[in-house]
Amino acid sequence: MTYNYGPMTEAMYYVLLALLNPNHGYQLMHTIEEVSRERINMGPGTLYGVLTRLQKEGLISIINDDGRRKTYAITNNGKLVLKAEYKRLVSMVQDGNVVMEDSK
Amino acid sequence: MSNLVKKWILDDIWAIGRNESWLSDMASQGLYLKKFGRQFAYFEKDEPKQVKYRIDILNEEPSGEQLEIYDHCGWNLAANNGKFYFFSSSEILKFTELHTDSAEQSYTLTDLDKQLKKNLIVVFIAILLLISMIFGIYFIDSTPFLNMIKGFFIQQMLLVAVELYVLYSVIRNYTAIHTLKKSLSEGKPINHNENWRKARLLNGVIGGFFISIALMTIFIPIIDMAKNEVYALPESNTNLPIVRLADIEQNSDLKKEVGRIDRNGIDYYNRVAYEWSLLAPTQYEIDEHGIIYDEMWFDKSGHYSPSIHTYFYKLTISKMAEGVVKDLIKRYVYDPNIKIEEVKTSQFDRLYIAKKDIQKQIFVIQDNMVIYINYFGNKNENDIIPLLLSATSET
Repeated sequence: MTYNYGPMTEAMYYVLLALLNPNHGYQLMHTIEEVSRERINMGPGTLYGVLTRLQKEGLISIINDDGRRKTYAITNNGKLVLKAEYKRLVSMVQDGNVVMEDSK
Repeated sequence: MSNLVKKWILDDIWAIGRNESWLSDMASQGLYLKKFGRQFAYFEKDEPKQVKYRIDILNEEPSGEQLEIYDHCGWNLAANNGKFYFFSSSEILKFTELHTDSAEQSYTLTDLDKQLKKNLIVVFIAILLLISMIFGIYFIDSTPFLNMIKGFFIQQMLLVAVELYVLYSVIRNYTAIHTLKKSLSEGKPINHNENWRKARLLNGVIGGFFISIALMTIFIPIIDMAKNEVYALPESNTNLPIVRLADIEQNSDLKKEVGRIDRNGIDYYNRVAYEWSLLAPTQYEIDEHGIIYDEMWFDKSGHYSPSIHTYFYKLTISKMAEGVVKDLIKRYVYDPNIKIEEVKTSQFDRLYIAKKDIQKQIFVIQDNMVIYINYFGNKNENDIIPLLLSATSET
């Protein structure tokens, strides 16, 4: 399965963002909380749903599995997709800024 | 397992919100889920508590690390059934909701949605083939009415009903998951407190009804087999709705002609076969053969040996009689050159005659009775019909 580069879900965006630094499940939840400035308290079902899907789509990979813990990291393809989504979001915000400023 | 409380699930496993709500309500009665099977759920009895349940669909068995994280967030694995994992969380604990992103949760249903779609296609084709086969059997020799009364028509129709119910369940399952996936992708979360009572009651009634039908499909052939019997045709008068050979021939030299004897000692030339079916609860096929040693067939081919074969059907639905007679004619009047003559008579509802040389075939409808007589001998139909009238009036 390949990700079609459409708009990401919020959960997917933050998991990819957090995995710019390799991480394991439990720590990942905290990192997402930190990165989102405590705005996102991701549920474990959502986290593992995203991890499974992103792995299938080749956007993240397991770089270490000691049998007890798996360490995930973003792939090069994942970085490209994340960058594209980041640009899309930035341009959305910029468009928003222009319209919002004009309407003041 | 002996101290566990067993409860019939009744609802579909796919009804995630309803099942979660049901399990929470069970916990408030002190019943805690331990096992979730295909038909029954098993609960452990304890003090009632407010417990939340969540059902997660996991395509792979969760790892120890994954379960640890779930546990840390307040969710303990209570049971699983295939890809369906049941997690419980005490309400007094601070917990993070299992799924916090509906759109993302909808992706967890992708594989299941595809699998159910495949199932639906396979089941649909299989049931279509099966139903076509069942109906095809009735038309294979273009005698559907005869096949209906002689076969397991009602049982097969019940089987068709059960098969259609299976198809309906598969469609319902697919629709449930597909709709849930769609609504999650639109950002609508699962209603964890959905009312389960009405759906369970309805499913229970429908399920119970179809289980009864399925049981009937087992019992009908058993009744059929228990009621069927074959026995020797008595020489003396019988209460059977038949015309006896001796009454037709009116010859004191007529003796019984004995044919092949089966392992139960029954003479195949002189026997009564009784059968039962829901559409024709009284069915007889009666054979009688005679021989006159002092008389020869007109072509000198051997001793004169007349025979009569009677087929008698008392139908549950009298409207089927016309169709049954037409099918009997189609099946037993082999020669296409033989003219089927309908005789207008006030004595029977319908009377058809087919004649060729020594063979006389008589087909009669009287009320809900259908009689077919196949006579081989020198006598005419006019010698038989009056006798038939008295035979049917006795029935």
